[in-house]
Amino acid sequence: MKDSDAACYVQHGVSGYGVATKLSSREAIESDKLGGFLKDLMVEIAERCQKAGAKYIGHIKSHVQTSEGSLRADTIGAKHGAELHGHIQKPVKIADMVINSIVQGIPQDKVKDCTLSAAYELAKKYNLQIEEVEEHLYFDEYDYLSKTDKLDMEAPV
Amino acid sequence: MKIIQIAGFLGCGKTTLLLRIAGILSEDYRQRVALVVNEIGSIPVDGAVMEESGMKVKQLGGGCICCEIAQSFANTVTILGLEFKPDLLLVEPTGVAIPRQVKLVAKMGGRDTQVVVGPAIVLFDSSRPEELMDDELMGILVKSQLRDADIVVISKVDMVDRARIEECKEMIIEAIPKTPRFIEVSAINGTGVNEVVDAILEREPSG
Repeated sequence: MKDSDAACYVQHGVSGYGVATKLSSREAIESDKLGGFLKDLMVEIAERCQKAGAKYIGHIKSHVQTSEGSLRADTIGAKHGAELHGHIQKPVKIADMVINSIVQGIPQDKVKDCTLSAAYELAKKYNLQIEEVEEHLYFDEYDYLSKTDKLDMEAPV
Repeated sequence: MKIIQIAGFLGCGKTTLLLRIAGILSEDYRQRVALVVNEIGSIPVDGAVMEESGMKVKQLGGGCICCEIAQSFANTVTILGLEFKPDLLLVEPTGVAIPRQVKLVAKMGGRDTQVVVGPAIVLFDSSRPEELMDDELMGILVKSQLRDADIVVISKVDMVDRARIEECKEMIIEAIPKTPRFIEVSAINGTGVNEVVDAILEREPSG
């Protein structure tokens, strides 16, 4: 057996993009506001991908880690809205944010454009500064554990 | 070592279910559990904490384990089997992977160690059945995944009503030649999670 050149996701037109970022704000941000930003961001990326020609939103996910807790948001398409989990105990000024966008029907560079343009524009709207730390493509080796200190793995019961 | 795959299309809730059942198997049933995850960002969680709970987490990058990096996946199965010696190896393939391919590669990887390939658990997202089934290209893939399922988990049942769940089952029964075993699950409120655990451990349903 050998590794194959013909990837199933390529045959199905699926591509993805991920980015690790730092979020910061002059004023400390509360959990509700940060959660609102994340939910809006998920839907915004989905809408942009669809406008760019994506036939299908596979999964767009984000994870924000702060010293006061973590938040996760995701969507499977703009019309489905976004789900948000987690909570931040106290307002924070900085956070680590990871976004992964996996869609079908547009190439990887378009997924990247949609993801980053949505992130920057929405961050501005929410008075947040955003800085890219590292990007990764669909199947890059990517070690989350070294990029984040302590993330909340618990799904709410 | 028994290998169980938690498969299904993108966004159907594989990771959330995987984390729930891995915790139950490890903590409540004292199983030695290893996880192999093949999608970027699938576990943006504290792997260190999971490893402290006795689990071994391996995230495979560089391609899909059902095709591109089949050899790397097979090697990982062998190494985990020989070195970590888990009771259970839970595999989360990417959302476009073909379960029978993953099964085949897992068997190959288990040649040098004692491996039992358990049921392929394939999730079906009850919140978007038409989207999954009706699209020409994606529909073929989703139906192919369902055909390979030993157990079909109807996921996200907390988001839909009873009629919708039954519609999903009817769509699946119509789409594939053999009626599978269904388990209705919400990894968010816990519905059906223990039934999946029982199926993995081949226990009688705990009620």
